[in-house]
Amino acid sequence: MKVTPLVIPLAINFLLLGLCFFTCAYAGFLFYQEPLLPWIPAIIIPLLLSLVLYLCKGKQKKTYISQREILLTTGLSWLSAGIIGSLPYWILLHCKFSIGLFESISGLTTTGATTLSNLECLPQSLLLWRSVSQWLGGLGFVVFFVTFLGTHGNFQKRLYLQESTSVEESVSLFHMRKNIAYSFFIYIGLTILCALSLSQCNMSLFDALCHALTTVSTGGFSTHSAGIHHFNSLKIESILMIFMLLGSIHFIFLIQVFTPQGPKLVKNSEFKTYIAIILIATLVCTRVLYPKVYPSLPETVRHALFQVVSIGTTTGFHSVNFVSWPNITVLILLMLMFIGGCTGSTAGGFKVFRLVALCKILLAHLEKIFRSNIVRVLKIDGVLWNERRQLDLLYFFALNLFVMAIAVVFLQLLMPTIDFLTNVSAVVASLSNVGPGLTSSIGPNATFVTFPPAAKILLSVLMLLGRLEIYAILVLLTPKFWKRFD
Amino acid sequence: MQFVIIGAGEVGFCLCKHLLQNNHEVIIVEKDVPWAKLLGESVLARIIAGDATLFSTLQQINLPQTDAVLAMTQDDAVNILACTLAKTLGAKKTVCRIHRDLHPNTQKFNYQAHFSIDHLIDTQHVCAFEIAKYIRDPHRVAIEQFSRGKIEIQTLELKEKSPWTGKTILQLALDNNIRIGFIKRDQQHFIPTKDTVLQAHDLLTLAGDNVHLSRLRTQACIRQNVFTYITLFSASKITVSLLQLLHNPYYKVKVIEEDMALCYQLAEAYPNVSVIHGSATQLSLLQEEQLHASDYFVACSSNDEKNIIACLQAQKAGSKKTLLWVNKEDYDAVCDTLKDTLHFNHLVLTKSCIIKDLESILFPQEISILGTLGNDESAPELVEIHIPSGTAIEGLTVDNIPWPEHTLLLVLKHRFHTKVPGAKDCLIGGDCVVAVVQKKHRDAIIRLLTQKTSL
Repeated sequence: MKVTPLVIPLAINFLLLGLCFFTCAYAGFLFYQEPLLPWIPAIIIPLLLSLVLYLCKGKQKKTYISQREILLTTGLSWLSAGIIGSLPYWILLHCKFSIGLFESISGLTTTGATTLSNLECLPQSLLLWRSVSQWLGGLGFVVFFVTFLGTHGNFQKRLYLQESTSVEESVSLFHMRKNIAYSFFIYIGLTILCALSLSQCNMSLFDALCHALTTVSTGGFSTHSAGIHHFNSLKIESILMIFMLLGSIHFIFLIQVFTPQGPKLVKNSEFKTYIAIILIATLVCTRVLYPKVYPSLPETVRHALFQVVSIGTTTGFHSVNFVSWPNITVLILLMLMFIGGCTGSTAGGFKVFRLVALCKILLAHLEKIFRSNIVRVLKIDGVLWNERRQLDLLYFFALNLFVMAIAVVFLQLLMPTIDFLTNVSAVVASLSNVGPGLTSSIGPNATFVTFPPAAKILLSVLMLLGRLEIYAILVLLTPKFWKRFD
Repeated sequence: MQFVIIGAGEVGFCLCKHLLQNNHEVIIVEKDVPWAKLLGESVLARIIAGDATLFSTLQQINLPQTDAVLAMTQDDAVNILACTLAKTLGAKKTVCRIHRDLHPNTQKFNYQAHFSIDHLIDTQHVCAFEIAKYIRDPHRVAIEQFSRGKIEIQTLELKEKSPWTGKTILQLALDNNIRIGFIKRDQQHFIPTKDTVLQAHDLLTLAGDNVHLSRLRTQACIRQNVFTYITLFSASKITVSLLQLLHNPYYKVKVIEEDMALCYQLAEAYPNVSVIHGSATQLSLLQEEQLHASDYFVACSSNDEKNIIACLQAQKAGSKKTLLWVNKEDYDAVCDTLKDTLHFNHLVLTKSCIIKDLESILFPQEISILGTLGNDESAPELVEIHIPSGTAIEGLTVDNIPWPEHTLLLVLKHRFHTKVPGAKDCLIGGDCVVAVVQKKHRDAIIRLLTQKTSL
């Protein structure tokens, strides 16, 4: 296996993290007079690592990069970013290895699960890093920088295909760069717009910026322990809902809204299904909650919609403690967690596009049961799904369920006293990059601090698996991956 | 008359025999030398052995003297090139056999105009058209065939709640691309005028392009719940042509095909068609596919024997009507016996379809009646009229022509393009029109469009 292709992405990774640490530390020093000194080791380590890697890179040759090397690069980039990203937590908070790693990976994978309480007491520079880590994670920084700075054409393309969910394999490098550039500008534009909108609603500029960074990336870290409930503002919730939704829709579709192809978005089956899911879930939750839990209908709609959008977009913000809601609503939220957002967005989960395809495949299969000779061709939005693609989806679905089941068993072994719903919701919330669980012990008003270190590491691995669509991490654990091919 | 046939394959040879039987002079150009020699001994035609795409071969014929050159080989490229070359060398009329859909109305690139070909003929499509005529209203299919799919004919029944009921045609403000050809009310057909008030249960026959007609259907809140179920055997070229002719959503079509790869191709190209993998000669499959609910079973595979067995099995499975396509010329003689003995509802013979179509091209009638909708004098008729050069109406726009009462222009064919004519469309010599006219006014319109006197 060639190691040279790994060097540049890792060096870029570390350089970027070092620069981000410096920016956060300097902002804390400049605006909140926080000391710079504790940040120094956190800044120096990644920069030094980056320099060493750069010096070791040797002469880069334009050679063919195999699928194995791409997978290794993707997996290692995210793993190393998770470890380096936890440096500020270890150094500034003197916390355990598992807590720092959990927090860092939860940030970079845009999950939003936390082990930290009393967020108001933390240094502002660290809170800013938490938010920035989610923003970077949402951007998929490895792909972005490697595509623009890297040299290997096939490497960039494969990396792009590895990390994005619904792109055609025929995409050209030019087209890919154009797509990434458009997505990047939309991402920045949405963040700025969200921060400006929030700052107009009695939110401090710092809170507005941090929340904008974690909303557009559908991350869900807040600067307050009480989350969005801290602000108790309909305006803020509405703005957050809009940007959470925008962050969870395919960014290329957002461009199309402003082009003559605008109506194409409305015709897109993933978008239609996604909006239908959100609306139906809100309707059912409202029906269940009103008037038993909330006596006023507008208040019920407000809370139901916010929670549904927040969980459905895999952001994980909360405006109320939804774990106290009736079981049926909790189940709906669990399903939303699993489904997640749209492809080509920052949202996690199984993805609505896959759900649409899965339903169509299963329906076609059901027809085959009573009409064995029928030949149907699966087409979604005019794109043909051949048998291989259908099988790939079924494997992915099965693998998702398998990983989930194994994780549930492991978590039960690590925490024998944990109840089933807490266990399942912790696993689903981590794998779908949502964040908070659906029971009181890991819900909106609690953290994962009570989990043993091994459980935290297990959940961190699940977050990485969820962010990288399972395969990129899982293949690293197979012995054959590391051996010479027969 | 003198005709040149390029390619003496199944179609070319059959055509040659037919023309010779009708006392025409035929010259055959055949590339296959041994076959050409054999032909020379068996038919009374002049045989030229050589490649028709070469100038040296066609130079041996006095092309300006011939009435038409018919390129009938299996190869589209050869046919097109031979026709172009023949036209350049002075052929009066060229007819090119095609296998792919290269018609101007269905292609962005106009092959016909670019290569100066007078007529394109797709033999499989011609057969499919004959089958479709039996399944659908023949008048409608005739017009659609005339316009090569550019114009569709649909029948709508007005419901009491329809927003059109009680309105005049003028008030409907119909798009320029749409015509209400005729209306059936109380078992009587009539041609509407702009002041005709529409009533509930009126059966309107409309002509126009598919997109506009679908929109119109929605506007008029007309939903049809009666479907016609059609089962086709095999995914042959005829099936594909048939699917194009039966693309109306009220035809529920299923295709039975043995080849899995073809099944996938067809399912991909026609998502609304149910494609069944299997053989229609298997009774269990037909029963499993509920053939008793099928209104028509059409056996149109390239294997005649299989077609016959499939039709018999379909009858056994309960199909209401069975249609058989006979491919081999040899079987023509036994076709009538087959039809009567085995009780097949309709038989389509490749040979007769092609000859009929070619005759309409080679010996065009100035006027042909496509259909009559009633017996009395006021009943509407569909008339196809070729406008000769030098007529009084030549160069006039449609709104400037003094049309007889109750006349409606449905389709205008100008060289290679077909459309629903608008008021500002100009009629010139060589154009062809399809009009709906009352029987009693038929002669008046023919006179108007063909007489060379001043108005």
